[in-house]
Amino acid sequence: MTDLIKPIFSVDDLKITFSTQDGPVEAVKGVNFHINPGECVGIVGESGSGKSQTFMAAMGLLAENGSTSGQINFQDHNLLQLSTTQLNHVRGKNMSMIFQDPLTSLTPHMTILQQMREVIKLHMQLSQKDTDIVCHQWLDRVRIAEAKRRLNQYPHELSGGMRQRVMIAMSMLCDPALLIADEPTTALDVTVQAEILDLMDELKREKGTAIALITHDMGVVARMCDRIHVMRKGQYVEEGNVEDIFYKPQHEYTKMLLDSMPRIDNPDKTSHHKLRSIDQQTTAGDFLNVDDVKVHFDIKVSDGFWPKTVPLKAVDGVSFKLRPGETLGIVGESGCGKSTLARAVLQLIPPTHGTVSWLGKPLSGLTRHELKDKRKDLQIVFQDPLASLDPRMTISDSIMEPLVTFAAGMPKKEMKQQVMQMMDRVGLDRNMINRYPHELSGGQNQRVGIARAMIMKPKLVICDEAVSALDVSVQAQIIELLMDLQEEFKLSLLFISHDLAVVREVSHRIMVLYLGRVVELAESKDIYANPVHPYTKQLISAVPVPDPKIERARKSIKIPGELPSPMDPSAKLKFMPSKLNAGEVNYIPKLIEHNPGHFVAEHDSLAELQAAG
Amino acid sequence: MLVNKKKMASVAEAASGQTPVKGRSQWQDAMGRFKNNKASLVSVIVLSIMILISFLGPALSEWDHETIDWALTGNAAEMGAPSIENGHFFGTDDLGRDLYARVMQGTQISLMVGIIGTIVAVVVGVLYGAVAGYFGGRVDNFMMRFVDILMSIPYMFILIILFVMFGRSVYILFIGLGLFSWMDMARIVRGQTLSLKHKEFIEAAVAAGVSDFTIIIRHIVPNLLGIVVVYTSLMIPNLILLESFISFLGLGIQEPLTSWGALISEGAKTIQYGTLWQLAFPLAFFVTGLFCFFFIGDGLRDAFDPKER
Repeated sequence: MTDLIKPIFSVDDLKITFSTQDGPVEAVKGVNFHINPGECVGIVGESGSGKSQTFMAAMGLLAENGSTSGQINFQDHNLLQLSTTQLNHVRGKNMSMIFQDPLTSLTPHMTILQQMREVIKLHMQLSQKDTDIVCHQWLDRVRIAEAKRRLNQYPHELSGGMRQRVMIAMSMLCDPALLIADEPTTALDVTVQAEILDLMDELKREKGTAIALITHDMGVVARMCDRIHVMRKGQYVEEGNVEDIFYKPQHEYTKMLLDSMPRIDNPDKTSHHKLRSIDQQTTAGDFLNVDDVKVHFDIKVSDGFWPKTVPLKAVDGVSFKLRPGETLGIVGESGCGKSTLARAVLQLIPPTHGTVSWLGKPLSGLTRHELKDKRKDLQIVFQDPLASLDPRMTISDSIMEPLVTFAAGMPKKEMKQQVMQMMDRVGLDRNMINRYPHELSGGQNQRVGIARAMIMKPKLVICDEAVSALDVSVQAQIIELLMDLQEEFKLSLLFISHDLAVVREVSHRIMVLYLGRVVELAESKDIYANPVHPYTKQLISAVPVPDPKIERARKSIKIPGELPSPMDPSAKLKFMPSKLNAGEVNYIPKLIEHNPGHFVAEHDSLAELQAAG
Repeated sequence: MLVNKKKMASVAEAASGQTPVKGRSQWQDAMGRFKNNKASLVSVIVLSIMILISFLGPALSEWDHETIDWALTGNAAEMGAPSIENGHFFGTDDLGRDLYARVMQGTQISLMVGIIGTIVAVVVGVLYGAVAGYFGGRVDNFMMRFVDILMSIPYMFILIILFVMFGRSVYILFIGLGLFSWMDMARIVRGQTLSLKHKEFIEAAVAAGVSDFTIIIRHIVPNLLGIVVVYTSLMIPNLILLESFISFLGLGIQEPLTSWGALISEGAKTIQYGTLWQLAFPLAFFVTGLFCFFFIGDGLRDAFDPKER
């Protein structure tokens, strides 16, 4: 097969070495692969496996201390031997790259049109007028609504998904033969991710563009790729067709990757094997009671001479009760207010309205001193393990901090003893007490964060995207740890995540948030088996499944329209346009008990919503 | 990096077979790192020697800083050169005063001005700026507008009033310098604090129930040290120069007392008469002193940044 079709891009025995102060580090240790025209090849691996570096070398974007050996051939050029000027003719034109973070890969002070023009000016001879037409066409092709207006906007005026679409449009401007997508959807919400992936798939089929997809998400790979290379520590441990990899994985590492990936479709694995079932008879009583909490931020809108303030309703009337020992999963896309809600529960941000009561006593309105006593029982684990630890403190000092605060009288020796025990408990080596956060891996740092949260033996821990920044294998370990700790200390958890598959595994009940409002709240099993609200349906259908057959047959539900701004007063009626059309702009959709224990916000039916778009 | 870490880890494991690793505090770690920095360690030693001889040195000479050697007066260019025989190790100045004794005396004054002024500036500036930045809002507004007002008053004017009211003395000079030098520091620190306080580890500390003041001392200030130290190492020479300017105006240090700045400006004025030593000795001390401060500042910044390890 490969003899007949000439590969468009091939890599022979590529080695990349970085010289560091402590000697050379081999990031890529001799890899071989090729990409045929119109093919999508996936490079899968966890962070630090060297998967991006291969393509950085091809694009001539290696860091200065990197050196290469071997060959990268692209359309009869050995890219490694080209000078920068020669390389500039190839990159951007015949080969282009989409980066992970759409936020930082567009220049903030240039309009979309200016940035797109720049690309065309470099690689194609077109008049200004033709250039603008081509730009406009491409924005239309990547399905950006109101393309004409968007062209003259600045990157910050677009949402993350739109920015990534602009990036794709920009990289496709010169009809490249190869598109390198480095984690193109990792930073995006699932619903947006589904759209971007569909778009890339379409381009592949229509234009015959070859795609190199670098990702850690097996679900994305299952949807997109024809062939897969699994990379680990600078080497390919397994390569083959998508079916072979998914259904007959040979290497241990591939099996481990597939196993640790939580699957939203798997009926046998609806919840984590260590998740204790909650006695249905247990009533919430006075454990944690969140009642109609609202958090509004005043945003200054410059409007003429006198700036006005407009409330941004980050959380807009959320109520729920938590039972002791229960895990409540809170899901929603970025900007839906889930982190703000967590902070409001902990009183890190005082709620504008409503009450949070803990063991029957309200937390709101307490003085700092009174609140301090309660904090002993209420802890939080943050998303970014590195950022949540003081870079200047050793990890043992960080873990000890709550002890110093709450048990100031305790002798230092005993504190150290407790820190040691807690480190053992969360799976950190005792020898690491003097390490600093930057010397540890992400997973280890998250264990430190968990140890710090657990050392006072709290009753409630809020996990704010606690596993989102971690690799799947590490993620599985951390979830395991959280489940063990929950069992041991009879913890209640508020588990916040955008990853529906993970939330399903760990939660008893799940609450879906949309722009600061609850749209659905039900038992975990219930909500995945019979989602009622269109938004929940859309969310669940957008999660990629690491199984190529199922994934490709599946169709994700699309609801027309972009995510409205939370400052827009009609945003809450996004799923109820009938009221909007009837002129009842201030109508607030009520939460209705659909089945016992299954609450759904009022909405129009999915068919009506899709028809409206 | 990787290789080294692995090595260290294996060494640690091997060692831990017998004895568990002992916990170290942040300060112990910083001290360890500082000691590993050769340049700053040498600077500390040189600076200590300089301070020592500035106090002990005068005892070695038969001359003091104000007595005029009448035998040499008015003939400095020919007879005032450094010599062991007549006891003027560094030579004499135009008036025939012993330069050695004067340099020693000037070193005392200049180092004191530099160090005391800086300590005041750092302590007041860092705390003021960190508090303003951390609490933000109205507190911040009030505190920073107060700084703005102080900054808009010409410091020379206030210094003159101080000298007039309390009489001319070295102490008033210290107070005057300290009073004005902290404001820039406060501004810089406040700006850094504003960006620091939204970091997750600060939020983590709040969630852990740590009180505001403890957060400032334990989390904010150590993370500010990098910029504070750099700014401080720039401020010390500035203060030393500022002192010489004030002295030149006829305020501050008065003859027969002297300082590095005063000695250097005098030496520079008389260099056309061929009395090179009058400039060379004070300048050598001044430059050495500044180098020491720079290196110590560098070493401190690296020492307090664990990533430098």
